[in-house]
Amino acid sequence: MKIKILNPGLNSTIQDLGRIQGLAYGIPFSGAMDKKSLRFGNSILGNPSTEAAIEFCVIAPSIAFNGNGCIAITGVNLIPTLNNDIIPLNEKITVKKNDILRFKGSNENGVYGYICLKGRLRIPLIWGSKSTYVYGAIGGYKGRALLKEDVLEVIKCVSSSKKETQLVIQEKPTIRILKGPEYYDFPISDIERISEVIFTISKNTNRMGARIDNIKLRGTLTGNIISSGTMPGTIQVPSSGIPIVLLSDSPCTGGYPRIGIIIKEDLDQFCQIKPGASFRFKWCD
Amino acid sequence: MEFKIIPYGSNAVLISFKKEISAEVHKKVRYLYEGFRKLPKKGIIALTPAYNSLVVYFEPKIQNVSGIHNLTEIILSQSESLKLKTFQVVLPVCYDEIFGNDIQFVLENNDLTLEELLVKHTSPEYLVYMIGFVPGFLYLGGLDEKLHTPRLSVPRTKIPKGSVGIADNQTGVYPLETPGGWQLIGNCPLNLTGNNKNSMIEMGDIVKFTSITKEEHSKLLGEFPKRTLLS
Repeated sequence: MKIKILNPGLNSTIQDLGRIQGLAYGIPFSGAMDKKSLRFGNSILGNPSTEAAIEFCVIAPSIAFNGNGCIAITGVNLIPTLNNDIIPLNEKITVKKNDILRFKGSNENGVYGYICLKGRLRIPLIWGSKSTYVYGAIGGYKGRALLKEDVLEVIKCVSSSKKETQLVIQEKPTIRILKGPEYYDFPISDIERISEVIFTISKNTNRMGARIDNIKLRGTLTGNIISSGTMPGTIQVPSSGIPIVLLSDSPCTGGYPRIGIIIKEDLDQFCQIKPGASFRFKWCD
Repeated sequence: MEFKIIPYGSNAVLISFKKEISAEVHKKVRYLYEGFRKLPKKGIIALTPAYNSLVVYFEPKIQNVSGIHNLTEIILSQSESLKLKTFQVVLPVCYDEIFGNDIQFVLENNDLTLEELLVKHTSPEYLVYMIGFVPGFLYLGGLDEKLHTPRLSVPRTKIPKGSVGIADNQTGVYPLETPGGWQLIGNCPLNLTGNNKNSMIEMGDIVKFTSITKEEHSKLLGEFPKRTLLS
């Protein structure tokens, strides 16, 4: 089956679970911002959980199908329609030749959505992954976000019976964090405040990182560190005192002190917090 | 103790050495990096080497922090017998003013002639301490003191791919078009980003710059760098 992009939506890219083999060469992880929703969509279709899908950000693409197949839509709670009839999220949907998928509504909750297609997306593996890293023009469909008229092909693949669960996007989530490498360099007041304040996510947030509004930490006395490996979920504190959370497309190294890191289990939920929405951090062991 | 090891997230550790940027400390990172790379089936998934540290990602079902600690001690204790190969990469640079917008500033700031700048920038054997920031961005050590120049006070929003710049005691090549505040002195026509795995420059490699003309620059555009074994 082939599909054609009628309208690309906002920052729609091909993403899978990301790549890890290029870190020593400066090639970031990339991959879905909400991996749980991607895995869930794949499991609905019987795809391997590692398969790639179309990730969109708030505004979904419109797609025409030129063959028969199955899709599943997960993540942000928009209202998908097939030939103008509303179809459910989080379920297997059969599509036929000439069907058109469009979305209605706006996101009350959540940011990222996933359009999963039954089968294997015909996209070359770069460093073991189909994920798009737009900034470096690496992977995905021609290294870029999808555009009108782009055509993607899905081919049959061996099905998998692995069951995954749905991510329930929460309104004011509590995000659990572990100590970061420079935790002990921060004053106790910073450590306490980070788990006391109710934060909001800044509008200045993208696949590389999330800025956090309404807090200014004192920061470490020792200033910046000698640049060192970083990973998504890391909470860095630059000299401005405004924390930045590194996300999928963040650089593999950085020189800002790392106060904490969001636990893997809560990173998907964190990525689904809308700019302007609130959340809190909680230290855990 | 020579190194510190701490958990970083639930499936990685950060191993760090003395807090300094030096070839001596970096060599330890390299021993460890090469040592972990050679370990078969010990649950090591990936590595991020840097100036004085290494992040080791592991499979939590097979490996844990104390296991990595033991492996680190073993690798370091055997490091004297581990022969590290050194590769050299020659990066051609066109130092023409059409690429090097700030070359006049660098010359005036350091009281140099263009001839002297070329000699000072192309003579050293630069050590690749690490690769990060963006794919293929080399953190090089060894810039001649006479070339140290402060960053631009207002960074440019767009720096062309391949730009060669100086910022304080650092020099390097922008492998992608990005914003940046380095003083631009030339352009390297080669492709340093990660589309071609085999051409990727590695940490521990030696980089040499060589001066080329505008005509040579346009002929080499888009080619990949070659690594040659030095020792």
